[in-house]
Amino acid sequence: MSSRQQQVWDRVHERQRRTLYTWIVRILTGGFWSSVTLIVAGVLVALVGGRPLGDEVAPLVDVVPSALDLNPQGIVDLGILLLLFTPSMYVVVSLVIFLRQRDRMFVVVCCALLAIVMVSVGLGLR
Amino acid sequence: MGIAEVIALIVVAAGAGTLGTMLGLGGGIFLVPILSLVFDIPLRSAIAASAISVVANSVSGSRIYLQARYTNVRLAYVLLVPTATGAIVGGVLATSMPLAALKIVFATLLITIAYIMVRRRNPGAIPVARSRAPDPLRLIGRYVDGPAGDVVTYVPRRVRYGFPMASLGGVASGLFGIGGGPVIVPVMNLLMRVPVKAAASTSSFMVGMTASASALIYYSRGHVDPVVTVISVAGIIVGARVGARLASKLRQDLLVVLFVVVLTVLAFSMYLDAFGVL
Repeated sequence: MSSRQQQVWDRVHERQRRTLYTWIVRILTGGFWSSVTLIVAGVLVALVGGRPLGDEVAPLVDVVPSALDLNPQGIVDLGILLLLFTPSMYVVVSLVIFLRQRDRMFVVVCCALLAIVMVSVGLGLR
Repeated sequence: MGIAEVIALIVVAAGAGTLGTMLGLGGGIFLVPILSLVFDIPLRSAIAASAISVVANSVSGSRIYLQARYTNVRLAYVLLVPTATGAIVGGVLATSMPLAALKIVFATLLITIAYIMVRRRNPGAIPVARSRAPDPLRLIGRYVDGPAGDVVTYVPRRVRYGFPMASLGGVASGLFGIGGGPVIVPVMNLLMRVPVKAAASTSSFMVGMTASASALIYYSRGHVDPVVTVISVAGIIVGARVGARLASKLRQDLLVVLFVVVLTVLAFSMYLDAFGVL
């Protein structure tokens, strides 16, 4: 490859990388603050409503209905879950970016990572 | 849990985060045994709280390194496949094995880390990987470093040989709720010749995914105590920020002596607890 072609490749890769990094930072920031907001809100609802948090989280399938009922335990659990799924969310976004960039190897890598997360959820289901 | 206990827990978590960060080990290594031995919190709940704190620390702290481009996201994704798989194995082992065995394994980990810290010598400068080495996965990293604005360019080497080591880091993360950093950073730096700044930033990004893979198992199996977790997360995040600021201001050799003593006391307390003596 000539040095001119190399420069063009470098510029293309740099642009692709910038897109990837920008989106990951957005997901990290959004995931962290959404999770903190939910946890703080849950703790406040518990304190104001005099409904103490339990010493065990609700089963996965009950978390969203419980949070929608404004149950403080459900809101805190949802915040913790959102935090735990934030890394998976940036992998999902990366998967879309790699698909658009036709980067097959990293599409496979991202799919493998999401499969691992699904296995970990599946292994723990009560 | 009473107010006094909540305050004590916040102080302990912040202290663990500060100390762990100053030594580059993460707060979990101190937090888990203290929660278990002093606060009488079930060991698996302590490990789960620590793992979730690791995720929170990674999610909140990686942004700056990503923006500075120290983090090599493509390298992180490639290494995350064995690391996250190892974390699941560790998580399943920790939630299945007898509690006394888990305590013994954890105490042995503490003793091993204390031993490594005593033996550790300054390895000197590690030659950085050549930037024109073959790079079929396009793992090349490039960032601007130092006040002079030098551009550091590297291509990680021997990536496939890092897989088994990275998976061991993942198992340790899943078993003990600690970040895999103490294993993954040396693998990237010593084996793959990734500059230490890039290795530390990439590891900090990776441990969020690794710890979340095992924390989801703890969560689903009902080992997460929301109150302990929320307090630990808050304390560890604050402590990590304080530790990062203090790290360069304190004498490292004195710190190492202090922490080796603390780790050894915690390890032997855990052995005694495992055998029902405490």
